[in-house]
Amino acid sequence: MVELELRDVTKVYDDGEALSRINLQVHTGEIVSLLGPSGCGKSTLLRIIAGLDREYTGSVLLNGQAITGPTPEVGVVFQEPRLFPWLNVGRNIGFGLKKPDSARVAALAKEVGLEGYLKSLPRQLSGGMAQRCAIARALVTQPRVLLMDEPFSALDAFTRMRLQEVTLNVWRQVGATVVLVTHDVDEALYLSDRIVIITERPGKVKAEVRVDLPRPRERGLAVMHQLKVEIMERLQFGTGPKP
Amino acid sequence: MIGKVIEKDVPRQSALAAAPELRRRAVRQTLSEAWSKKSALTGLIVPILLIALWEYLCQSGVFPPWQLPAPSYVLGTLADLHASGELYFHSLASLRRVLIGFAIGGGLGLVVGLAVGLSRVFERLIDTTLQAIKSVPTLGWVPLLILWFGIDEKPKLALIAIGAFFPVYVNIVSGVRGVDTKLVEVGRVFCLGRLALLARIVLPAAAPSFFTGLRVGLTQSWLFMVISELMGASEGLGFLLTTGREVARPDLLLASLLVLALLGKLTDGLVRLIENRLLGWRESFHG
Repeated sequence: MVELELRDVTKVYDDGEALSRINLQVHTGEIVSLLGPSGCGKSTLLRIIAGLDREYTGSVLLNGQAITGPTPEVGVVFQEPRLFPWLNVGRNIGFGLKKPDSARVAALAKEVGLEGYLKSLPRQLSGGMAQRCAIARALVTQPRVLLMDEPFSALDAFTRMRLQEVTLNVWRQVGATVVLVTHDVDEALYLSDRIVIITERPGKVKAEVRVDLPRPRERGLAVMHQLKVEIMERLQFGTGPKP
Repeated sequence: MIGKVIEKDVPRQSALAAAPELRRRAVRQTLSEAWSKKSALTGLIVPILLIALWEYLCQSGVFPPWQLPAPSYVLGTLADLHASGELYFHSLASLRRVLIGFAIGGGLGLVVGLAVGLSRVFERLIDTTLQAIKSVPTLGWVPLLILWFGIDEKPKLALIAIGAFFPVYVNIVSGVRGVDTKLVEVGRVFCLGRLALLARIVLPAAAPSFFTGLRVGLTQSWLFMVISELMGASEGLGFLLTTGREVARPDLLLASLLVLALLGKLTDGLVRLIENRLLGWRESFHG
């Protein structure tokens, strides 16, 4: 079933096209990565899906309904944790709830491995813990779609891998559809069912890579390496002759 | 073979090895706490020495009492004021003026500051005007206020309110404008309406600036209270000051100044207490 659909999404800035006729279908429960170099408009695309940017042409449909603004159906994890510094971890996680639900907050905290830190303030958290908290906060409204905008790019390699596990874990638990923006090929390969390669300005869908490997995947598997080489070539970082 | 992993035995005593380090850290912390308590007392050394010197210079007749009375004499005056109840009568009169004027000025500063901070239309409408009024030195209003309101309570409260208004206004505007748009965006993702955004994100994020404004505004209120009472009053610490000058009693002047300092410190400490309670989440630099 198609959960999220983009039809001819085009975004034009004063200095030219940023996104050019993006078409994309994301199925329920899928993890899809948008992979591309910085400045290819993939974050812009995510903001459009989140309903934060409405200056575009084309349409974004969630279960067949056009998205006209932020909705509780769509949760967002940004590149930075963006926690509210005046709220403790528990209150940050519960921020999106209409009425307090400490059981749900506690369950989410446990899921992302923050169960002992509900009373801590954001400034007491490490970068990885803060981002865990942000993931839990995005999930609190039980969104059908979780958008993640380079969520681990500011973290060190080990923390990043651990948070990728956390992401897979919550994805399994809550069964949300995930759209992940990343520029890390390994991350895309480790997490996604499909990788959508986006070219540099204007952003266009250049290729789609299906990753049909069972999870949990072993990092650095030979098959993955083969896919990585192919992706690198699509991104024009291959070792072969350049076109 | 292009490489090889060599396994190493990891000694399993790391937890024990850490113990002395932890203990040392705990000791260091206790020491630094003890020092910080002591450093509060360190601040008292200079004033105590100065007062002792002052007492000595007066006792030994370097300064004549009609010019500079000894600290002990000033304390005696304070005791007299306490016994006659005048101390409380005048302090309360001044405190009441400060609080009313501060509430009016600070309250208006909060409301207008929020309006200007939140709405570009409002900003364009009134910010220029307010900046123009702000550039008038506050004391310049005194003759006009007297002309308008006479010399009773009203011009005093108006002057104190003007003094409190601008610091609160300016800080609220810059606080609201300084709110991180990234946090506001999180609110939008959670579909918060304008009012909820204001209450749950903008106000808490602007609170530190607001408190800065409050404290500066409060200091200004005390300043303008004294000035307004010097203009002419029949009660209040400013009245005591005027009286002290007219009857040439420096002890009364010094006693009044001492009470003013104490009350100013007290009200500031109160605001600071509330601030620390509410804004404990801030990261602060401890030197």
